[in-house]
Amino acid sequence: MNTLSRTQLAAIELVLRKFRQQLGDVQMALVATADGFDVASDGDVSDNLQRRLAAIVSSLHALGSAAGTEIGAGNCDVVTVQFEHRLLHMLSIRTRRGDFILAALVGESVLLGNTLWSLKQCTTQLGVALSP
Amino acid sequence: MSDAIDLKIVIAGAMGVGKTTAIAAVSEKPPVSTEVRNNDTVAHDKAFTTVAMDYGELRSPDGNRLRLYGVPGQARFSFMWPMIERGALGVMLLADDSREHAFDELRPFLTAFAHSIGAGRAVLGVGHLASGDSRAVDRYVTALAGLGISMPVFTVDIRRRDDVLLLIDALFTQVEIASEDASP
Repeated sequence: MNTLSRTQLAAIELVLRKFRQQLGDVQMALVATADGFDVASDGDVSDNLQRRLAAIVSSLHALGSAAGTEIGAGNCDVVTVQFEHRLLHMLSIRTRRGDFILAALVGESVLLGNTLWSLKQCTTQLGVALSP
Repeated sequence: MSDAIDLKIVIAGAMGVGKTTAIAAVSEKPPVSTEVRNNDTVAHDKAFTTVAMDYGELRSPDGNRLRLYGVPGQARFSFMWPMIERGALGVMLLADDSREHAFDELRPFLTAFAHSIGAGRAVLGVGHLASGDSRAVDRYVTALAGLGISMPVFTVDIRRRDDVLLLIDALFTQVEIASEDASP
C-alpha cells in the first residue's frame, strides 16, 4: 500500500509541519491516499485517529467528486466541512504515483483566504514529495 | 401528486463481491459512483474500489422508486454502513464464492446489518461459483444457521440484470412476510 521511501515520508512530514507552523491554529494536517489509507500526518492526531480520519476523508472527498460529476462541475479540488469552531479542508493531490488527499483541520481564527492559499502551496510541495 | 413511494435498499458485502456491478446492472439511470484507484492490491487485485457509496435507482412494476445504495466493502469504511442502512427497507448481501474465505468475509456484514437481518429483511446472493457446484446454497444456509441466522440464499451472476432483480424480488417477499409476522 504505502510504497513511499523513508526519505519521501520525512519530506512529506516536513511539508506538513511547516504548513502548520506558518498558518498557525491548525490542529492537524494529514495526507491520505484517495482510497483511504493514511500516509503521514502532523499535529494532534493519534495513529488510530489518523487511520480513521484517512478513511473518512477519502469518503467525504469522493462524495464531493460525485457531486461535481453529477452537476458537470469538473474535477473536485477542494471539499470543506464547517464545524462549530473549525473547518476541515480536503484538497486533491494528483500525482503520477496516484491520487492523494491533503486534509487540514483549521481554527476559525485563520482567514479563509490565507488558509486556502497556504493549502494550495502545500499541495504543490506535497505533489513534488509524492512523485515517484 | 403521485402515489408512488421511494424505497431504499442497501447492497452490502466485502470488497470486490460485485456491489457496484449489481447496481449498474439494474439502475435505469447512470449510477452515482465514488470509485477511486485501489491501492490495496493485497486485499483484492481490482483496479478501482468504492470509498463512500454507490447509488442507482429503478422503478418497480407498481411504479415505486427503488433507491439502491451500495456500501464500501472495506472495514476501514465501516463508519458508512449504519449511515447508509438508516431508513432502508432491507439489505441485499453479496458473497464471492471464488474467494478463499468468502463466508468469513461476509461475517462483518452479518454483524453490522444484524438489525435488518434479525427482522427478516435480508437476502444473500452468492456469485462466482465453481462450475458444477450445486451445493453452494446449502453450504451458505448451513453456515448462516450455525450463527442462528436464517435468510434466503441464491446463486447469482451479479452482472445479469435478471439475477439482481431476482434478489430484489426475494427481498420484497421477505419484507412482506416479516410485516405479516409482525401484524397482530
